[in-house]
Amino acid sequence: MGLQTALVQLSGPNQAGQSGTGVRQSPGRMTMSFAPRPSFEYLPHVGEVAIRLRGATVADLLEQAALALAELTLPGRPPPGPERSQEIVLDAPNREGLLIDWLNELLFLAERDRWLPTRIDVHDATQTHVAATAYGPILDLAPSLVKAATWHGLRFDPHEGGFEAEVLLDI
Amino acid sequence: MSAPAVANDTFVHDVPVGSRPGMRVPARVYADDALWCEIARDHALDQLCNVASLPGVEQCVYGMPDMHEGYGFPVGGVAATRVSDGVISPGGVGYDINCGVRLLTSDLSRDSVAPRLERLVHELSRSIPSGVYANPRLSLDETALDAVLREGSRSLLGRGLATAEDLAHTEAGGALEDADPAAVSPRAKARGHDQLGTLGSGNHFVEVQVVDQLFDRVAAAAFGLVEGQVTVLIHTGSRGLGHQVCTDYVRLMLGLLPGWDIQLPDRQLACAPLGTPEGQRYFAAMCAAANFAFANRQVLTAVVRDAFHAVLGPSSGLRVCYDVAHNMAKLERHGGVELCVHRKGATRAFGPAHPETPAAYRAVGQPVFIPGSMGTASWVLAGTDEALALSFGSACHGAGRALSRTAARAAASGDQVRRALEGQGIVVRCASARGLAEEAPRAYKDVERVVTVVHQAGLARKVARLRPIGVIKG
Repeated sequence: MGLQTALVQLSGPNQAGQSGTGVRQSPGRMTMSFAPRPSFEYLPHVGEVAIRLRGATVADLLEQAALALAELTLPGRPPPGPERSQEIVLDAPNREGLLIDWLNELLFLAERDRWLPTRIDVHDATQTHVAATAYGPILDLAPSLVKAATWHGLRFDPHEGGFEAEVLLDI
Repeated sequence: MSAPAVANDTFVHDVPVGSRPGMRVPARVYADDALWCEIARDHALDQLCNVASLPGVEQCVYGMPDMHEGYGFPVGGVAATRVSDGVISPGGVGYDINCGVRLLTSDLSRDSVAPRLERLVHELSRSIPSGVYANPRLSLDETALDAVLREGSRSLLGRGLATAEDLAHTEAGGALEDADPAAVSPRAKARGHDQLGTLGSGNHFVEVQVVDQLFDRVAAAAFGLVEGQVTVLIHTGSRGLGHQVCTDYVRLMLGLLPGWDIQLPDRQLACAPLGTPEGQRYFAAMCAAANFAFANRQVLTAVVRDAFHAVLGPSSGLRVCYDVAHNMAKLERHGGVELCVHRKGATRAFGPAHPETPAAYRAVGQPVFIPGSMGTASWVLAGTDEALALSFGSACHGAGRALSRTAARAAASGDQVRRALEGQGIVVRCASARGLAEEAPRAYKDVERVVTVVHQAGLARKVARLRPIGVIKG
């Protein structure tokens, strides 16, 4: 097992994450390199909740961000019942802004429409653009645990052939 | 530049200009040795020093004894910026604009309520939309919502939800005149239209309490407090509407910073010069969200009155003692200079001589409320005139968190916390066991220690201690 796969995986909706792999040329020799397995984890913070996200692609990262938000809002299995879906298209000035806008868009839709996105199908993602369909159960209450995704300590960097991000959520 | 001299420096911890890059003014924290050690454990002090780099920041930035790490500003931070050449920062107010506390006094004694306490707490829990619930009973159309944003609690007069006496005992009369509903985005309005009269989640609560000790009988009498009396403390804010206002304006300002030639050590400190259209527009939107929060606590007051009436009859005599914000930016004059005072997790604490102290409290200073943490006491203090020079007239807002939510959950489960509280005779209702664990008393600093520092440093003075007997957690 590669070092990257040793990341702590939380139980819950991110169990289905797929690992990304790739081949990278180094001077004088060929080495196998494993891009980060899509994952999220919660980091300690005295007042709020920070999350660390990893993935092989920007799309992976955004998907993990949505799953981390869902797990935080409604731990465990989503409630049974009808689902709805929502197309989401966003543009942002940069990668970090895209992550903040993505999380805040999910929070807005969840609270306005009493719905919790628990599954994401990213159709297209670049450093500054995402087009996706979000699926999740309709709730009889508005999930408003998280107030917003903040810019404090935000990073979204290349990491071991993929990406790693950290973002602080205001609870 | 050095921090202002104080007569009593026992609790003063100063960080001079130059200690960190970019500081324009010094930083001062009020804390005893134990609290100072706790504050130094996280990044709160770094954050306070970052705030000291804001353009136009005046004199000194202050950390209250309950200060802890937040985002951008620390929670428990106070910073004033000059209106003439300074900025306004949504991060200095926070996402929960006008999160605040309202205290209701009553004509009831603990003995008269005790036999029906369980039923009372149940009725309150049933009546108050909490946790993640919206309030379909009060869904507002655009016109009605704009009225709330423009007029705050005043918009509820004549609808059986507020009285003139309630408004007279609310900061700014429950309505900030600079509010402009047009500055609030449709997205913010979409989040807030059905949230008036809701508690929210996190650390928000309604508590039924008993006055268990008086420390200043003159001020207590002015506030209508007597030993053994039942009181109710309401802690909530502007809900999703306020959250979205902050989200909208932080993003807007971040894009405009280069044009204003503003460099910041933390993007969450995004700000706009007060003299720009964007700065003015945020201030108008923030005031509108603050009005929503005042109205929110006012509607909850009406709900609490109904619940008391249903369980205890018509003679509860619930009156608003006061309603104070602890996440707000206010335009105030200090030392002859017009300032925008940001209080992030800090409460105004104006003394008897200040013109904005309500008429009923001119002899003793405005009430300041310091909520405890479910099992621990909450405090009523009175503002002091000397606080104007010590902290721009500010005091702390709570005990301040000591443990992360993860650590709190690891320390005790929600059921364990509930049993411990019930063992103390406290009836608890909470929509989420996880939420109960995260807000356990041990997750917070020692509120008695925090209040003692505030009192001895002269920021506000002790008036009364309130013990919880019933808790409804969001």
